[in-house]
Amino acid sequence: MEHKFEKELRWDDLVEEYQTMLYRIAFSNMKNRADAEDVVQEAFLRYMKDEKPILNREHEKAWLIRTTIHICMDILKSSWHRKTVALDESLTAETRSVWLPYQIKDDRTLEAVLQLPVHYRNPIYLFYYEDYSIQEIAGVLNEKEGTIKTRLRRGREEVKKILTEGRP
Amino acid sequence: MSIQEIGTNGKEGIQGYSHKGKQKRAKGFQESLMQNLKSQEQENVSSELERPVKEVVESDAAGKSVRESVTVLRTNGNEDRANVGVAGKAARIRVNELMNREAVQTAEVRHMSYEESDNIEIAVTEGYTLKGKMEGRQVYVEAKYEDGRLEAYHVDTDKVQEHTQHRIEQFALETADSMKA
Repeated sequence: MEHKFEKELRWDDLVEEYQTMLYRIAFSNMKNRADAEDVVQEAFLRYMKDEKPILNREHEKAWLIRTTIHICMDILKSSWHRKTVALDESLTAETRSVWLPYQIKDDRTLEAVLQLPVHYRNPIYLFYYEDYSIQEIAGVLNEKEGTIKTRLRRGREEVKKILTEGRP
Repeated sequence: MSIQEIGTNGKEGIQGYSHKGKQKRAKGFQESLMQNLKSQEQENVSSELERPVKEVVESDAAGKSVRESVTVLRTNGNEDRANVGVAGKAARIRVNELMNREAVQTAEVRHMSYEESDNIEIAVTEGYTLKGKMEGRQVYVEAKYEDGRLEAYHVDTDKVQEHTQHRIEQFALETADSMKA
């Protein structure tokens, strides 16, 4: 109960601090604005309902990212989502509209990253575009550091293929 | 040990032989021994003269050709002159190397965020990211590699050559230029 109260007090700061980052992660998986927004809302709701204590800011951030990715995966795997034909919005336009702390110089590469299979996309997106370390990504995705290194390397090769051959 | 001393010892030893044939063979052996010793002595002297130049040839990985070093040996007849020439040449190489190294100095990694950076390069296909921040006359550059390595540098942009091929130096110049614009 006490933890919930602490979280409620921090609600505004929490949303302000993580909203855009979580939205970018959700969008990189869902590839459309409406679904990405739903995912972020769901992640915040789960965070508020969760009764486990949050150890520190890093733990909090990792928890939110992990939950966001899990929600995305659940939706993408659901039969409802598979039956619907979502209109993929222009990734370039959307990534420009999403606030990033820097200007993306190479749109083609980001688009190629977003086309990767999910097991490559999330490590690559978090490593390069959200500036996470391998250790942090391993924690967020519940994988070994060696696995993340391998996925980064193979994912990079896939990005090259997409850029040169135009397909994953 | 000089040649003379060995020679006299040898002669005394030869006198002990009684048979003429053996004496003849011993004399031949003595002569060939003397010749060998003389040639060895000459080789030692010449190798002493060559030593400093050989060192230069060995330490020549910095770009000076071996042929140039050999020319130094041939044009400098005595040891002192050879040393002066070699020292001068070697020093010049070191100065050039230092000039290049001075522009980029390793620094402690601060884990600077993208928000704090003035310039960012995300090179997914190359496997690295670079973050740069202008700090006075220097640029602080942090590099993160695909294998997890983190490296940081201070780059003095005044000392960077205009058409440098070094990626860290190029990035530092880009950062400095972007801040001027």
